[in-house]
Amino acid sequence: MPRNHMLEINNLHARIGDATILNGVTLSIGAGEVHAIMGPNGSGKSTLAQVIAGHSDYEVVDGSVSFFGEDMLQLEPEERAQRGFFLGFQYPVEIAGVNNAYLLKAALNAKRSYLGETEVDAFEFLKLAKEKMKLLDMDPSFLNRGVNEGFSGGEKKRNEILQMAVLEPNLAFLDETDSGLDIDALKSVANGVNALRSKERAIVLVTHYQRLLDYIKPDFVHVLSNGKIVRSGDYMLAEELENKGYDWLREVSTG
Amino acid sequence: MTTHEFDQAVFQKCVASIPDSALSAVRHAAAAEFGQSGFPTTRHEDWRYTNLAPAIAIQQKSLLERERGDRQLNPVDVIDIVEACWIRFDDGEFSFPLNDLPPGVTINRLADSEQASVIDVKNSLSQINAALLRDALHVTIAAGVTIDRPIGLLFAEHSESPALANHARVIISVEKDASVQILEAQLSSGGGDVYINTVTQLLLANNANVNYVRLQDCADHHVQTNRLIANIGSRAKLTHLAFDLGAQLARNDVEVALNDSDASVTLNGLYLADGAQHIDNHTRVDHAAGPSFSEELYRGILNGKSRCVFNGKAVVHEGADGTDAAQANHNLLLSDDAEVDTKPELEIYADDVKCSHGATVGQLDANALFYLRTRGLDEETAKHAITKAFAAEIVETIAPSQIHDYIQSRVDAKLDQLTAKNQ
Repeated sequence: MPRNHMLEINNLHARIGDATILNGVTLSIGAGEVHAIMGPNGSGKSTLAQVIAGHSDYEVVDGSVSFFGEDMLQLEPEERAQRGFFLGFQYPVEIAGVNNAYLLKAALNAKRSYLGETEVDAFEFLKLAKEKMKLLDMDPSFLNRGVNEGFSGGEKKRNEILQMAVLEPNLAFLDETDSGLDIDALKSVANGVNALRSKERAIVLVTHYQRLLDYIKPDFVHVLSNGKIVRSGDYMLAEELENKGYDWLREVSTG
Repeated sequence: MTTHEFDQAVFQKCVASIPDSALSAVRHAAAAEFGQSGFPTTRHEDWRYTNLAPAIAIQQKSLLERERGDRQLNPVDVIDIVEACWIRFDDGEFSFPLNDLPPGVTINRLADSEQASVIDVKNSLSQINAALLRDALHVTIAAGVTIDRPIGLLFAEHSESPALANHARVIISVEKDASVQILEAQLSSGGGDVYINTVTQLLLANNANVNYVRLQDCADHHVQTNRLIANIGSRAKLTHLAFDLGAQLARNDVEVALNDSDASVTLNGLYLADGAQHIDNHTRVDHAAGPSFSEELYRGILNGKSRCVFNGKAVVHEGADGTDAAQANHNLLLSDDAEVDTKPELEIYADDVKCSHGATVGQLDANALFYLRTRGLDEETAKHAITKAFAAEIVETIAPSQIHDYIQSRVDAKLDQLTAKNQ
């Protein structure tokens, strides 16, 4: 028997329209672990994150995903979130007029209500949100703005991490959280992520570059190519990729 | 059904049966004109998309069955929620707090005054309205007075009769330098078929300021038509916010004449429709002098098989130089079966004007919906949040007040219905 993993992805195949993007991804993620999924553009990294989050544009044609032993593919996106899954978007969506504070509070209470906990009131929520914002060097005025509305690239990414910090998920997939960040923003995002590392929680960093991994050191590194994991290793693999690029692995996958 | 199926003979007999009053001359003239014009049909350009057949059917039945059954007034929430000087029209019968009017406000009954000639009979719905009036109200806000307490106009239908048609007329004169806030609530309950046809005439003297919020949230088997005719004087300003949430068939005509320099009007509207509802908003602003200013923003959210019409026309007349007119209409369709016909129109006969118009029809942003759901909000809640944000652009133009909160709660309730899963 393998050890009991939080997330088990087995032989996952998925397509969008006629294009098959995932060609049999198998991956196990356990509590307390930090994984990095790396790979060239178009290798299927973001698709994997979107499929696990439940985006209806993608059709799963084979394979399975279980989350705490439950068939995740049968769940609606909100049910996955309420059970402790979080996706940090590569391109966070701007939603004009929907207040950031409203979303954070509604999201937190949706999860609490699923867990049978009492909902937080406005006062408790504000205290919690301000505490988490401090961690990310975010101005409290962000709470009163529309969700990502008019945010810079860096502000959007911080906002994703803020949501994660407030929701305290069991498993977070952070899709290209480092892209478009200057070094200061990268550091505060990394601080936010590191503050959430714990033995109950798993974090998956989906990234093209090794840069983020200098600040958030993963326990495991996987390389995705043509919709399949072609190599797994420890942090050393990330360094190897930084030096050699992805081409030598592409050979492996096609050869 | 077309206009010829409406029995004019029965109509003229009913008009004749109404007791004589100071209104008689106006009523008989209006009846004669309506005898010629009849109800508008879809052959009229302004009525292309809106068929008044349900209104005509109820009107016809109502004329034949003049006997009204026992009437019971159902509770109306707005009276308890918004503190105002309430002028009520219950099934067409009015009542107002004669001894508790705010200083500067007077109310006259036109049936016993010499002012009947102010009654507008320019189009056929105004004609039938005038012809069947037993009485009408004239509200005056005295010069220089700022009225702190809003004036409330409540049109409430409670009828259990099989068919009832009600015609009500209010004339509001706001004298120079006066300022007032008005909430009109058109609400209905009761099992009977009801057709309500209201006409409001607003006269703003120089430098008068009126903030007018109108809510139409009738029962979904009722039919309503409404016409607002506003004349705006120099440096006077009208802000009109229209919320249409209810009725099987609702048609609103807003006609504003900017008669003097620096007159200005803001027309904002929100319509929320589902099921088989049909909501038609026609607005017309005449810039008769310049510079004068109009801005208009209507937004609509449609679900089910509902159909909405927006027609906003701004006419800049010769000599109205320096005029600024902007119109926009934005629609959100939540269903493939809903339909909106939108037509912002500009007619310009002056030079040196700044005019713009635009219209959009779109669907709920699927990416936004998915994003909210990945945060744990269920589909209904996520849809509610996005549609509420869309509606907020209009709701939030009401200043913080009991009126704002009341409208918000009505809009929220309707959005709940619109975004419910079984739609």
